[in-house]
Amino acid sequence: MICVIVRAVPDLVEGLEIEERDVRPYRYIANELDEYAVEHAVSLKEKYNERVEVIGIASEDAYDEIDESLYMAIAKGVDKAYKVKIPKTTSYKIADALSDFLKKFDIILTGTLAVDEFYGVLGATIADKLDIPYVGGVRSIEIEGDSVIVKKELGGGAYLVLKVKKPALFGILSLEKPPRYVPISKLRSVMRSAEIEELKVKVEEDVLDVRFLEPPKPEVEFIDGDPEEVAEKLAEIIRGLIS
Amino acid sequence: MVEVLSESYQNKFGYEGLTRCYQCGNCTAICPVSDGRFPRRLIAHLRWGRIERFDEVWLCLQCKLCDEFCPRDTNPSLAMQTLKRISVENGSVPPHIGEFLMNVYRRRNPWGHSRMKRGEWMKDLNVPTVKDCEFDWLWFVGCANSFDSRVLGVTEKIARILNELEISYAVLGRDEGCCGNDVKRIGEDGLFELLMEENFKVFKRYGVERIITHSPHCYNTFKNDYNIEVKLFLELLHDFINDGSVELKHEFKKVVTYHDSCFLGRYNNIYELPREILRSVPGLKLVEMRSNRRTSICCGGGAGNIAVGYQGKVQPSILRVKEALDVNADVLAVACPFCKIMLEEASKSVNCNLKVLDVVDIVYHSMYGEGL
Amino acid sequence: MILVYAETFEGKISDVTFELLRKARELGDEIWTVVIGNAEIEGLGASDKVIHVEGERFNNPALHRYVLRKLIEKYKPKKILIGNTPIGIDLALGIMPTLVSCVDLDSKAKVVSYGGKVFVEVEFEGIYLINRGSFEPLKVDGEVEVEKVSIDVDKEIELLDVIKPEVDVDITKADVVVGVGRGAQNIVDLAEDLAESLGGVVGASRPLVDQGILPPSRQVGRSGRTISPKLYLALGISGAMEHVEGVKAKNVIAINKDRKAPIFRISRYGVVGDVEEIVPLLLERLR
Repeated sequence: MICVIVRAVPDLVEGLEIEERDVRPYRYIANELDEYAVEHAVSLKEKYNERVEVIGIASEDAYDEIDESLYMAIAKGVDKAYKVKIPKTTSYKIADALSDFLKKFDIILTGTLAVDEFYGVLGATIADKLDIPYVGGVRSIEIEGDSVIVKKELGGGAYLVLKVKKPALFGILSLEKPPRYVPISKLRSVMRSAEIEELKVKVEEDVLDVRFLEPPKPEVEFIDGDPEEVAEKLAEIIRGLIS
Repeated sequence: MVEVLSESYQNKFGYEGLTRCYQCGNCTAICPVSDGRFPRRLIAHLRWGRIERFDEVWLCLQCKLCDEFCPRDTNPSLAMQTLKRISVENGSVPPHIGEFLMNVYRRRNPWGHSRMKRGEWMKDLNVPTVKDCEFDWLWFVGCANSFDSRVLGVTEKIARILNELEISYAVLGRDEGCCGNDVKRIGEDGLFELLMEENFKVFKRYGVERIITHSPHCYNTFKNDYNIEVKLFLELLHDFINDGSVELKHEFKKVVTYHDSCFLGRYNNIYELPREILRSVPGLKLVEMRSNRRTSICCGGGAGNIAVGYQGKVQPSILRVKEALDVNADVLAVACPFCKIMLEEASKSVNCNLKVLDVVDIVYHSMYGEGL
Repeated sequence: MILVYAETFEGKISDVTFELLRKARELGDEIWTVVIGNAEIEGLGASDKVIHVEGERFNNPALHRYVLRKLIEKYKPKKILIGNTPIGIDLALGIMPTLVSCVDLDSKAKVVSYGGKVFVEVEFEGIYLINRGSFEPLKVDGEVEVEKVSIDVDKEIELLDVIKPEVDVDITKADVVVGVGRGAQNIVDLAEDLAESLGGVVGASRPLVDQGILPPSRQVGRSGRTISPKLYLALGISGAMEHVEGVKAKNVIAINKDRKAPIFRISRYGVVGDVEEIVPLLLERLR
C-alpha cells in the first residue's frame, strides 16, 4: 500500500507579504513536487494494482484550499484522501505526529522538498522516525518483489539506479512524462461525491527564532563606454561571476 | 492514444454533420497545416467510430477555413472539436494543451500569470473599476491585453481613447477571469462551463449588462456562447469615426495589409469594418494579401496554442508574414491581440522589416500623432 | 568540532567540499572532514583530521546518510557542513536539525527560501546544507591525519547502476549559457566559441529555433527548456515573456541594442550596443 504526502504551500506566483516574523501568502497551493509524487503513485497503482492513499497537510489558512488538490488526486486514481490540520510548526513535529499513521504503508512518497521548507526535510525526517530507508531526488519508481527500483537524479543528466528494500520513503523530484490531465467535469463530479477524511492527530507547535527578509533586489547596472572598454569590463565581470 | 467509441458518441457530443461527408478532400486541400491527410482522414474514421489514435487532431486551430469550403456542410472543424472533446474526456491532451488548460484553471489566463496582477497594467492610468463607479459598459480587457507586454500598449491606448470619448465604462481589474473561448475550442467543456458560471456570477454582482471588448476571442464567446450583449471596441471606434467624434488628423503614409482574425471573420462575419477604419486613415494605402477575408489563414494562436506556441510542423504565422511581404506591405495590421503576438514573433523569425500593428495602434497614431 | 562532509562521486572529491572547508576555517573551530567510500584523499589540507569510512559498499552515495548518522552519534559534532547538492540533500537527518539552502552561517545562519523570494535569518546549530557557490573554495594540498573508521549500516539500498548523461547538450544543467536571439543570429558561431571558452553551452530564443538555426533542444523559454545556470549571457535577445520565463539564472548579463528591452529587467549587468561589434572583442579577452 502506497501513501503520498501532499503539503499546502504558499502560491509563489501570487506573491507574499514578508513581515519580520512571518511570511503571509496571498494564496496556497499544493507543493508541486508533492503533486509529482501523486503522479508516480497513480502510475504504480495502474502498473502494479497497488492501493494508493493520500494525506494532505495544511495550516489553518490553507485547510480548505488543500481540498482541491486532494480531489484532483482522487480524480487521477487515488483511492482515499485524508487531511491534517497543522499549527505553525516544523517538519520534525509533523513527522512525530504522522509516523504512527504512516507505518502501515510500504511505500511512502512525497516531494523531495517543499517551497517553504528550510528547517528539516519532511520525507527524510519521517523515514528516520520510522527507521526505514530514504532516497530523495527520485525521478522514476518501479516495484520488483519486496524491493523498489528507483532512479535518483544526480544533476547534469546523470542518475543513480538504486534497489531499495520495502518499506521505504522516497522524495520525488521529477516526472518522466508530463502530469495527467484531469477533465474539469470529472474533477467537479469527484468534488461532489468523494469524501476527505480528517485525520485527528495532534501536531505540536514549533516556532523557530527567525527573521524573514526581502531578498536584495538585483537591479541592472549598465556598462557604458566605447566597445573596447565595454568588452574589457564585461570580461572582468564574467570572470568574476563564473570563477 | 485512446480507443473509442461508443455507439452513442455522436449524440453525446451533439455532432451530426459527419454522415454528410463524402470524403472529397477539400478540407485537406485548404488547410494550411495539413500533412496531406488531415483532417479528411480523421473524419472518415470518426464517421465509423474507427479511431485508434487521433493525436493529429491537435493540429487543428479551429480556424474554420475548412468549413468555408466544405461542399457538404460537414463542418470539419466541428468534427475536430468533437474529437478533442473525446480526448479531453479521456484525459488525453498533449502537454502544451494540458499546460494551457491548467493555467486557465488555476490562474484564469493562458500563461499562468498571477491572478492578483491582472489589473497591474492600469496602475498608472486613470481607469475606472466596477467597484468605484456607475457604468454603462463593462470593458472586458481579456487575458492577452492584460498580461502580454507585446499588446499592453494597445490596452493603454484603448483606455485613453475610451476616456477621451467619455464612454461610461469600467473594468473588473483583479476580478476579471478568462472568457473561455479557446477552452471551448479545445473541447474542455467542463472548464468552459466553470468559467462561464463564474463570469456570469461576477457580471451579476456588479450589474453588468453590456460588454465592450477588443479581443475577438472574448467577443466571439460572449456573443455566441454566453449570449450577452457585446460590442467590439473597433465597432465603437468605427461609429465615432463616422460621426466625427474621432478625428483622424495625422497621416500614416504606409502600405498596410489587413490580417483577418478567425474569430472576427469566419466566426462572426466581420470583414469590412476594420478595413473601413483603415481606409479612413489619411495617407494609408490598403492592399490585400492573397488569402483574405473568407480565405484568410489563422495566425496559429487559436485553440490553446497561444500559451506555448503552435507545435505543428507548419507555422501558419510564417506563411502569413510571407503573404504580407509578397504584396510589399510595410505594415501588417491586426485586430486581435493573439494575432499580434503570433505574427510579430513570425516577422522577427523571418527577419524582415514588416511591422505588425493593431488597428488601434494606427488609429491612435492618426488621432494623436504619437504612439508608434 | 565541525564536521565537513566531503562529497565524493566515483572516487573523486567534489568541488563543493572545498567551499565548505573555506567557511569551516573561518568559523575557527577544529575541523574533521568525513570521506565515505573509496576515494582519493587530496586537497583536504584545511581540515585538522580526515575520518575515512572505507568500503566498496559505501561507494553508493545513498548509504552515506546512515554512515553520517552513526558518526554523529559517535563524535557528537556541533556543526555539520554539507553541500546542498543532489547527493547532499539526502543527508538531511531526522536525528539532528537540518537547515536547507543555507548561504551563510555566522552567529546566525542565512537561508534562501520560498523559491528565492524570501531570505531567512535563523539561530541555528546542526546540519547545514550549503548552496553551491556560497564560498570561495579552499583546496590545500599536504599531509592530513587520516583515521580509518569502520561503520556498519543495516539499511538495504543497493546501487545497481550509474547512468551517465548522453553526449547531447543539456542546456538545463549548464553552469553558463550563452543565449542567442534574433539580434545575434548572424554571430551564432561566435556565440558557440564564447560558450566554449566559458565552459558553457549555447541556448536560443524561439525565433532562431523556428528558423532552424539551432535545434529545439537549445530553446530557452516556456516552449523550450528552463535553464538555471550561474551565468546567462543574453545576446540580442529582447526578453519576451515566453523567453524570460525559462531563465532562472543566478546572474544575467544582456547585450541588446534597445535600452528598453525587457531582458534588462532580469539582468544584473547590461550593455546597450551591437552584439556583432562587442562579442568578437569580448571573445578575444576571454579566450
